[in-house]
Amino acid sequence: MTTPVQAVFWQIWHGWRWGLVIGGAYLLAAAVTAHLLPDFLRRTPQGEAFLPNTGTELALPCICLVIHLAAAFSLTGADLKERGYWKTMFVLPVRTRTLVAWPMIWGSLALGCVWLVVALFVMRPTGNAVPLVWPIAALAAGLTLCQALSWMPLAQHWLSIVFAIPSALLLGMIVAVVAVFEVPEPIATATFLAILPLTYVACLRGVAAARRGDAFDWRQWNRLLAWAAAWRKAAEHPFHSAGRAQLWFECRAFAWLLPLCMAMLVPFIAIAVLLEPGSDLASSRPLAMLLLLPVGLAAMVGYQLGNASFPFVATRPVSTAALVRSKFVMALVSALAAYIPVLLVVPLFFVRPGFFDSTLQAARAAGMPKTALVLLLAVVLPVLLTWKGLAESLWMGLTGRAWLEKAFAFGFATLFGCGILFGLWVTFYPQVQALLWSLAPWLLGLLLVVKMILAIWVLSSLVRWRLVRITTAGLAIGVWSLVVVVLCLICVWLIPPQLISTSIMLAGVVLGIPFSRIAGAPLALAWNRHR
Amino acid sequence: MLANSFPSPDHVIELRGVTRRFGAKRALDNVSLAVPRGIVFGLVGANGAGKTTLIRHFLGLLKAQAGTVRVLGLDPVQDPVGVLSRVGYLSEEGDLPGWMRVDELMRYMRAFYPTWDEAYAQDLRRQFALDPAAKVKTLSKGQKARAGLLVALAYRPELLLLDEPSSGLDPIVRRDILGAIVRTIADEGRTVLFSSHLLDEVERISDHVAMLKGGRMLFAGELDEIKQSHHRLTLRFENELRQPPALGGALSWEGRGREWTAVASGRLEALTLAASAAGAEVVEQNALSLDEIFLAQVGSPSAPAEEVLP
Repeated sequence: MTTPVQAVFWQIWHGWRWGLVIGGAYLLAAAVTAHLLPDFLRRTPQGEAFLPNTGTELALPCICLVIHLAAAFSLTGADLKERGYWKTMFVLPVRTRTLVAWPMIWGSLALGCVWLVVALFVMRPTGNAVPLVWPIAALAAGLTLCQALSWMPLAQHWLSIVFAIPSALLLGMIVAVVAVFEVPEPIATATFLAILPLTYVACLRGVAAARRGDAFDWRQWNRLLAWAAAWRKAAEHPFHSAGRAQLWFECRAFAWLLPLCMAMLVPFIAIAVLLEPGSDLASSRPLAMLLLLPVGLAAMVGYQLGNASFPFVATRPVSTAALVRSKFVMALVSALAAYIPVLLVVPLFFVRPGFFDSTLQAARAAGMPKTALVLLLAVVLPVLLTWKGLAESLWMGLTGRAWLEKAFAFGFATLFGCGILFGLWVTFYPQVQALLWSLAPWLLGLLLVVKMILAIWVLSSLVRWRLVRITTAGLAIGVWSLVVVVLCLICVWLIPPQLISTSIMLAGVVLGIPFSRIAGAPLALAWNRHR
Repeated sequence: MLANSFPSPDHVIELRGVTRRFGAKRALDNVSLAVPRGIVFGLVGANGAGKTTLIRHFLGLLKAQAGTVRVLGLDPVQDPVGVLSRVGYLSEEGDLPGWMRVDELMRYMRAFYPTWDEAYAQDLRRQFALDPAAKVKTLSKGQKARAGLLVALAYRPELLLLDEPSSGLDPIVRRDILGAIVRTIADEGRTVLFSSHLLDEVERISDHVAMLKGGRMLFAGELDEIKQSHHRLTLRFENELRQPPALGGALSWEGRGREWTAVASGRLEALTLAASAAGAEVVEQNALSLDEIFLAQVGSPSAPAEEVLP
């Protein structure tokens, strides 16, 4: 390395190289697939009609690469937890504008290259007439906005979220206006480019302030805190038990994460609900999205909730099983709290014309018992599914192995990519679909055998390592069986048999209710606690 | 130093042949150790010698790949609750959660230990000048160490494990920590094991000392015995020598010509005899401080020197 600029670039590359390599590999695979698809699809019946959608589906995972690049050039750290410009760089004999400008330029160029590859080699060959220039400017504006928010030194870190929400909303609205009203490319590009000087000045001022040790401090907030502290009751009353204390610890440390994510996303959904054209059918999609959003988020934040807070917690005289139990209860608290922002938005649906009446009509058509059950499921199921998402993802965080998380993410990304290609193959070849349907019982049977072997291994390990008693293991099997039976009965009652065969549905329920990932959580924690 | 019965009721910690590797690096190599009840035990060694690895074995945070570990007669991996409820621990890193306030930390810790003495805890808090409303992350390094010490002491553990407790701290905090160790010992039957680079502190308060080098135990025993088994000998030879002479037990040499000074381990009589056999006369002999023994042992490139026995 001959210049400080190269040194900064090397640091960014070194910290994020694996994600960038994987993203680049996917981009290449998507471009090759998109190049081969048109000829391939013309040979299949009605294949060409699917081409534009297929191109869009191929391009969608590139959003992950865009987020990865934005995080890399905002210097957030691999776990996205760090804020502010790297302090180690402040002592280098480099001018602040050099520190600021180069990550902005590199990041914008990198995002621009990604878009060019996506537009020219994925979207356009598949018949999607996407614009070429203004999205690059929009991505650069988005990146530099992230950098400005990340590098701004704030005494109250949470203020960056407060600033981020309206900024992201504003930028998103400009993008929506440009895309919906098909604003001419030069005007759209100029609009986004006009944001860049503003974000540059914000970044420069932020890094300069951080470099001299200044931070924006909201004094009124501090006064409010001091006032609250004066009125605060001292933590005098002891906890009734160690379990209560540990649950309090887990809730204070982790339970807020999912509700916070929801609170940040719900305003966008509220806007979508208000902007959606007023028909009862159109309302059901954002409502379903709203109810199921915590379920989707749970799988993503679950592993972070599994952070065991070691070695502080590891040296407490609590059994590994008790620590895991408090994690599961905390996950339930988190799942319930995640629906508080949802409850604030749900009334919006009822003010939409026709929504209430159409719901009543559907209820009358279904009959009282089914309506009551569906209503109960609509309330309980999302919470339970969110808890399930959190609980079954905990094991990874509980292991405390960063390499495992990376390997899992890599495996998931690979499977996802392969799944898309496999899905395309199945979609365009009806004879493959027929073959797969004929093989479905065997495939499901194989998966059931794998699940059973894994469950036996987990249970025997738990008992062998004395992490749980045999009675507890038996109880776990009993609870799991009960849940499976109840769900099977509900599915048989609610889902018409002509829609899906009963045996496949039952196998799906058995496979869908996790056992090993939840029962194996104490094993994961013990592996971390006693290395 | 190891008792025949294992685990022995007289020892709070017993290790036999503990080996631990991290990849290709052997962090602990066949380490055996016994810590008697009711003493202050100093664990010394250079950076990377294996002190923290050893302490983490006592807490069950690491599992021995070979050998056995018993703390208070229990296996800390098989019975972490049984061990940890009787052990206090303060780490060098200060791993207290930053978001907790001091009073919340005390309330949280109290729930885990039936022997928690609230009056003693409040007394320590006042003594350490810890603001109960202050968050741990806002505390200075010294205050964090004091907070960690408070919660490690307040339940009066049978065994106190301190991993580099005074590393990087100012003399006032170090005094607090040393005072706590002394107070803990004043409670009958309690034991303190601490690792440290500050050898004057170790020498001042330890009854027993163990020294690790490259994962191997150089020696372990009573401090006085260890000091008595190390000597600085000034030797005068009849002829001028270009390199240090071969002398069994010598750890380091200084000098030139006819006069050489050796730091050696072994019995003084045996060393004198060995010097005479090498054609030298002992002109001066001094006792060594622990610091000098450490420098001679850890600074010597060779494997642990064999003591010269009669």
